[in-house]
Amino acid sequence: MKYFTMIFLTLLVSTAAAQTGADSINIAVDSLFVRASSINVYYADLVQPSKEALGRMGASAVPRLVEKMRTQDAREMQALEDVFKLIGPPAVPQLVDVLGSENVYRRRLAVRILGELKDSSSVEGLLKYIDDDDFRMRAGVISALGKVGHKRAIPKMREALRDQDYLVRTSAAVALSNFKDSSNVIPLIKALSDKYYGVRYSAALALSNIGKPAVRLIVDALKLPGDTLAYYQLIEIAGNLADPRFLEPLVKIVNSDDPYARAFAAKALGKLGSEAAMKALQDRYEIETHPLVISKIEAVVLN
Amino acid sequence: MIYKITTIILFLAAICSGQTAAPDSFQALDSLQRAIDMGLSSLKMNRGDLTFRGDYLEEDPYRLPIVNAYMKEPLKIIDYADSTLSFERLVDFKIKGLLGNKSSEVKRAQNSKIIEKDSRLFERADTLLGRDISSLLKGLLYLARGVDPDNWPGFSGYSRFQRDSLMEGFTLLLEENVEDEFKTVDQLDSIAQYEDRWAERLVKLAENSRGRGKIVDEFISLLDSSLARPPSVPSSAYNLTLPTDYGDIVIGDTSSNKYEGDFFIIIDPGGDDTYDLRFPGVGHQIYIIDLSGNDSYSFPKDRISPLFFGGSMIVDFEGDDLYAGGSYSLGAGLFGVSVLWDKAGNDRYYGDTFTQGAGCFGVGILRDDAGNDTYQAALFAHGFGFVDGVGILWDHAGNDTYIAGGRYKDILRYKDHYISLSQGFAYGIRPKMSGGIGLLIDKAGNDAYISDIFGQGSSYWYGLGVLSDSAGNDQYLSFQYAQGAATHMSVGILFDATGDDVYSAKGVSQGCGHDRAAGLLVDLEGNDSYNAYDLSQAAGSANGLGFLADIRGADAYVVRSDQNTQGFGQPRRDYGSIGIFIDLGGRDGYAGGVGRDSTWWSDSKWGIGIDQ
Repeated sequence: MKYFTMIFLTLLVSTAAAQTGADSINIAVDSLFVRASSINVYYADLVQPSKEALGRMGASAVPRLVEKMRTQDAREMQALEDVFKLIGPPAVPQLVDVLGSENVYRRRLAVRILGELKDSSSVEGLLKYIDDDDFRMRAGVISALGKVGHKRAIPKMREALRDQDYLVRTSAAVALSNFKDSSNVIPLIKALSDKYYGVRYSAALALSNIGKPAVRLIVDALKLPGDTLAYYQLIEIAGNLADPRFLEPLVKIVNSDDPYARAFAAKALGKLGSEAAMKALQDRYEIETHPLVISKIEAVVLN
Repeated sequence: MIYKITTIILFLAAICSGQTAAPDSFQALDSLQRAIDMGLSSLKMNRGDLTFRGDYLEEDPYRLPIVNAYMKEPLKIIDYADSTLSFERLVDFKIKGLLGNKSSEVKRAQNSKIIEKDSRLFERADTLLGRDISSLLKGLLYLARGVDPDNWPGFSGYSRFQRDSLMEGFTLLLEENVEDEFKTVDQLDSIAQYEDRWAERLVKLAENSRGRGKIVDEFISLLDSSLARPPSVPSSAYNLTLPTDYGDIVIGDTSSNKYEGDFFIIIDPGGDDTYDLRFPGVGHQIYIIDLSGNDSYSFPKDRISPLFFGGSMIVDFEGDDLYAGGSYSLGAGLFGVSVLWDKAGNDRYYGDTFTQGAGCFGVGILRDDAGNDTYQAALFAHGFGFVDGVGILWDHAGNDTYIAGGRYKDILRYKDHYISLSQGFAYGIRPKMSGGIGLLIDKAGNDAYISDIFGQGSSYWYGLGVLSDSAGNDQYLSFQYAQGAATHMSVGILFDATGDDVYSAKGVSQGCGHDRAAGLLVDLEGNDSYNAYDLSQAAGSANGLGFLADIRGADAYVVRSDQNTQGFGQPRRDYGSIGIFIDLGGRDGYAGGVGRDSTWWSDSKWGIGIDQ
């Protein structure tokens, strides 16, 4: 089956290449795209070869593929993303043009694909839409800029941590996790008190990724946490940063009254891994009664 | 004096016992709420975090407010599922409210000529019919006038062509073809594109049909009044026929009659009767009241349902009955209302697509009060809610068997499985039209539920699917997307109150939410067994919430994969999917997964398991 599939696809592409004119290319793209986006189990073998064939067509396939971005079908959107990733940078200028489309599905798909392409030439185009009225677009642009990893966008990302929409704030926190920039630490610590867990979790990840430059401020924040859920996140970050300066506060927390804080501190002490940290865990294990804390300490010992 | 003190003591004891003896489900749910908060703290979350929204994409005109409400606070669906088990009358479902306030209101055309005509119809027959039947017929005729699309304000703007388009379009969206597995990739693409273009047109075209199902209140009113008990049929009315502009009204007799062809109302006082119904055209209405006997009903098999835009009511008071419905019948409201109420007997219900409690721009209700019943259908059945629709299958007693699937292959995923989309299932057209509400409520008996792909308190695309079972040792068998599984921005719950139950599925099941959806499986009591392969038993996938709670009993949990089961969550698209697994009582056994008795675990950052 695979053999015949390859012959068919090769013939299709070579026939299109032998002809001139946009029509023949469009016919080939259409036919390949039907197979690349097929969701039928009987034709699953055709999907990847068809995507690769479209990828090999390169820039010549882009105009027709861009037309297909009007789709609202999730699987066609995924196929387009996969194919554009195979085509790579030659697709970027036309995708940036689509950002200004009046069709909301097209422009959101364009921003999603540009994020996956991670090409710095898209930054200018993306920045134009960072304050878009559509929260989905704002979130998409920030997410894409984070994936591209261009420092120019950092101030806008920090600003977006205060966006009125929690999905935009989440995207901002995720985007900032791609940068080891110490100036992000304070806004990210504030974001640990966000109403939405997506923002808090992502801010914690971003702070963990910043590494050593975040340690001192995290130690300070642990002393005076904004709220309980932020406190729990700070304990986890302390573990992720695995700095010896966290030993003392974590030992205190693992012996505190709050079983959840004790559980997170137990895990964090395990990540510290020092002799003193393990001793604190061992001591706690002798008297601990809460099953969550016990399971965390046992997990450390088992690992 | 002693008497007085004794009386006071007894009185106080009665008060105290009244205060402490709260219903079991209340106590169980109360302890569940506390456990949920503990689980959320373990995930560094609070209740406000468990929320999904209605605007991931632009909201379409058919979103039901109640779906948005449960998306916003998905755990509240547990209380709703529990409350359905205490419903006693159809009015308790508050169906009109389920369809939301955005829908257009029901307004009757006040036509004095019609009212006069209807009252004249029975003038000469009144003495022959007797008070009960005369009153019933007047009620049914009044109902028919309300169902009649020509009296429906929303339809007045439709041209003939537009009505035909609605019928063709929605039939196209609901029907499947057994030949699909043999089609080429190009043929299948062509069909998909064709259906997509239809869906695009229907979004606009169907707007005036919103709230069509609200006329269900008039059906319920008649059922609660004239049909609460068997009407008395005087022998003087036997074999009487009255012609109306909706077709013939026929009164049968106590012998075994055969009704063949086109009727409007049939009232049969007894005998083992056969109903072989065939109607010309569409928009038909059929009302059958059968008082006793083991009866057999069969409905037309037309591609476009004759009951499209129409209405139907069957009330069968006694006997072991056979219902062979084909598609779009047996409590299937398609731009109309359909109620089938069987009050006694061991009954068998057979159908194909959109049947046995199914609603689309309407309401479909199948209620069965007693007996060991069998419900079998291929697709979109057993409490199925499609766009702007409510489908309810409500079985009050008996050991019942529900079977859905076995006809249309799931060609998207498997070569050897069949789509079911049934048994408390709701479905919408992604991303153009939100789904409806599908409810399967079973109040007693040892029941067996069998589906294949999509079923059993599950949902898809802004729909709400609920399967609630009150009592009995039940068996739930399905393959995928089942047993409290919600996919693509929807909410689904399987709620079982008591009994030693068995749950078996392959995956994406048993409290699984996929793609910003909340899937819940809640079992309050009994020694239960849960078997799954993967992505099940409180599994969150693609920003979904998977929730499984078993409150009491010594339970067994078996899974094949320990990587994505029993309180599993993972990051996806910038943030997490959440899995919450809670078992609050009994000595439980675990095999294959991460769970253990009397332990808490959180192997994945976004998931928690609690066994107390």
